[in-house]
Amino acid sequence: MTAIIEMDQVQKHYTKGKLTIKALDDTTISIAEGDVLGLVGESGSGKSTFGKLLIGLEPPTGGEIRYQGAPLWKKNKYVRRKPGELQTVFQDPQSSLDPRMTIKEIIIEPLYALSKNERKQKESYDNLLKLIKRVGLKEEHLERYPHEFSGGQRQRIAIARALITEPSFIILDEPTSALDVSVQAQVLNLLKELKEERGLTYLFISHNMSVIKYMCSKVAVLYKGNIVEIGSTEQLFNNPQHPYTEILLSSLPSLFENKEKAIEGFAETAQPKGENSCIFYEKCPRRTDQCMTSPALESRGKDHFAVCHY
Amino acid sequence: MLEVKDLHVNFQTFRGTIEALKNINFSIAEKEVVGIVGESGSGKSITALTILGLLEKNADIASGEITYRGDNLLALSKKEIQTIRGKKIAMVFQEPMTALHPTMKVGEQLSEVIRRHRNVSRKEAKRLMLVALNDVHIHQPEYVAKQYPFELSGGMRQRIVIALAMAAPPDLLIADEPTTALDVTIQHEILQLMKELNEKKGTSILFITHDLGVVSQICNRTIVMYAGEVIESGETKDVLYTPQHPYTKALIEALPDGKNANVPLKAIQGEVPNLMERPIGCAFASRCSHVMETCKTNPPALAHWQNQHDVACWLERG
Amino acid sequence: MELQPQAESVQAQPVKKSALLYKLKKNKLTMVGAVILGVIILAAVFAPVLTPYNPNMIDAANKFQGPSWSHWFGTDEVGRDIFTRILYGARLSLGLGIVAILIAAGIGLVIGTISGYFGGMIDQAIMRTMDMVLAFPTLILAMALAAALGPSIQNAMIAIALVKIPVYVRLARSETLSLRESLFVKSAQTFGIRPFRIIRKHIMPNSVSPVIIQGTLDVGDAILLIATLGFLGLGAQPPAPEWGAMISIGWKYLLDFWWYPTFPCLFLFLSAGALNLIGDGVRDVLDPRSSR
Repeated sequence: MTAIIEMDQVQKHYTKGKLTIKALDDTTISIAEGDVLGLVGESGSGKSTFGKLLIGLEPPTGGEIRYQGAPLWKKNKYVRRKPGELQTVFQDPQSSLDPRMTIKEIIIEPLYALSKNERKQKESYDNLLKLIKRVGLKEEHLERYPHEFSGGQRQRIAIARALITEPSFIILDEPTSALDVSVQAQVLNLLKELKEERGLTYLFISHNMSVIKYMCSKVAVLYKGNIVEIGSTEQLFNNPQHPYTEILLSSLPSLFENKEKAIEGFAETAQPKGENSCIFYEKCPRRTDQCMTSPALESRGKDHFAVCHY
Repeated sequence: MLEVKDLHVNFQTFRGTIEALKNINFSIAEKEVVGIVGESGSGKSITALTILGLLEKNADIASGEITYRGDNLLALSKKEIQTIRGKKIAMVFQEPMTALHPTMKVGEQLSEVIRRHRNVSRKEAKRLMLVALNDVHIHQPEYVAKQYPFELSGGMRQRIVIALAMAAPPDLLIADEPTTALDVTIQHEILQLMKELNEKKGTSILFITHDLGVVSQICNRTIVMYAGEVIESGETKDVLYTPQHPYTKALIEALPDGKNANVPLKAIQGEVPNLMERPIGCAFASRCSHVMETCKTNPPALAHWQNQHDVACWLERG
Repeated sequence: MELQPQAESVQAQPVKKSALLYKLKKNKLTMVGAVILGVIILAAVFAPVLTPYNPNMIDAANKFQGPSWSHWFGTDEVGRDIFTRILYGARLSLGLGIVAILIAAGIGLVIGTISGYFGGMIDQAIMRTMDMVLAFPTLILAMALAAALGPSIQNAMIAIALVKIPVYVRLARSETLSLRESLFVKSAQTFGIRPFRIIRKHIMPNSVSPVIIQGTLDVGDAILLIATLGFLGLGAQPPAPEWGAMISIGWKYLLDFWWYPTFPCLFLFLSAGALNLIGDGVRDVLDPRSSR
């Protein structure tokens, strides 16, 4: 399998006066073609920054991001070698669809970034019709406005819009967090089917571990701008190596898990943290003195890595 | 302690009347944690607002009774409601910032509320304030008391809001999606905290959420709502592990939790019906996979059946 | 959040336009304004049918006639029928007032959205220029421009359009600044849509509401300005039946022939007032921040 996305020592630091906020810190990761990489983390973990760098909303402050071998950013300028190759489905379909456009206008909008010939060919009514039927919408919906649709239908519109340019890579940024459970299931099924039919690669950003587990083949756990653990879904869920991953997994209020098991939580905040200590030191329930030096990403089995001394 | 009887609430809009709540019946006993689960549009939040008398002007309580320790809340004057609200029945919302004064230090806000409810001196209020912060597991109460809300994280803010709500202390805490805006690890801590307050202080909790997982962690009893009606209710373990209503069953099936990733999820087809034109029969009939002829014309009532918990479905009556 | 059921079922229905109308109708003052303005506009349009006179027909034998059945509002110093002149004047005042604001709003919207979307140096340059224009009192600037362009009613209109532009630039710009951060604009950027297309397709249609509100409120103002310039001799020139020009000549006769300046003043007041009422109503409907 070849890598479709490669990130090499990518960082994104924001400076505010004297303060530097490391939204993403020296991140190295690659996404293989056909994979569904899940990106998990809580607010402030840098997972949305990760997405922004890939889709061209913000330039990295260091490192290189390559898409099919070619750099995506050249000196703060986002390079689209083939426009429409990378698409995004955002979390909130309420605000990601322009309220003053019809569904048809919304769906064909991405085509205006393509060359005229390509646009004409993909814009054909047959093509459009086939696409909207595939995502579960009807022909008569095309002339309506977003406010006439429910959240689930809006997300289907957003998915159709992302697919119209026939991309090979789609970033799904919390695509179902704003939806009800019954509708979430419809959308997740649709995304899975589309992936198989079209041979897509997904980056699936979410804070919901059970959605990630269901959707992804590989998972990366972000904490404060750093990947602390990465591995195949099976390995990571069955045999988590990083204490933060364990806390995340056990915090999830699941219906089906044993309620009696002891749930591990964060430790009380411990301040004394040297320049080089582990980023999780402050809250780690298993910290020791060794953690005053930063651990490196180490292999923990086949395709499984974690940043922890233990 | 609190009993809701035959509650009907309508909303008047210029397009017509929306039947937001229809025939709601439930009760909350002392020291009990009751969960109301439902998706958007199910009427779970409206139920909470009705109890607190916080409905918008265009809402019309068509019929029903809400009795709190013998008093019908719906018959009380505004002033009487206000003495109950906050003091006896308190509320925690999803977004903590809405409940906090943005330009007042959190300690001051908390002392003020304590003074209002308990008639104590300034000094005593301050002491109680620090105790209250400690009760919601804020480790450096003196320090946090001097912060403004914007300086705190979402989880910390929600703790402060809970401390405010517990100031009186109330008999009943109504929590409307209190953890939805929070990270899972923080959600877990807040749930633990609420459970502890319930156990230590004996405060009853009405917990409103869309998350079945949350319900399973904290609630003794669970009420499932759909399209403004209660369709199933009972002990949490019964409702979640032996659900009777096809909607509850389908909702649990639709969760990705622990499902085999190679099998498509069992989604519920269709959408929630428009409450302006409520179907004559069962509101879930159009989406139900077990629908029968009678469901389309006769709405099933919530009833106890075959030693099971309460469920509103014709299937269960054979 | 607490009103989810409502929001959900409301969204299920494709009735946006009737909602606007419903809200407008509920506002009684707006309806009063709309009726007054409607009557004036209809009267102006059907002026030839409503009166037998020509607005510029001199009839020296009948000068300074008081209001009567043949001359409802009396006649002026050369015997022209004042009612007729007011109706024809309404065409000038209302027409030019609206055109002036359309020009100002159109130009302001384009400049404001571009300035707001791109930011940086372009934005700085544009906004400082606008600040300079705004530093002058509107009337003084309009007078200076009208004088410089030469007194005529078209030039008065152009002058008013020019002095009104900065208001719309600021409005459109501030709206653009928030739209630029909206998710649908961000997503258009991720598709690789060119900036000018984003401005045209997303920013402009979504920032047009406040511009319309401001415009409706401003038409009354523009009518007053046109009349003021006419009054000062910098706008419409005699014998054009423009209200301001009529008042300008008429006010000298106020004590002896009260009807001469009074009726044009009344109509000026009614139209400006009606437009303000409508403007308020439109704002209440279109602007979510002002709705209660």
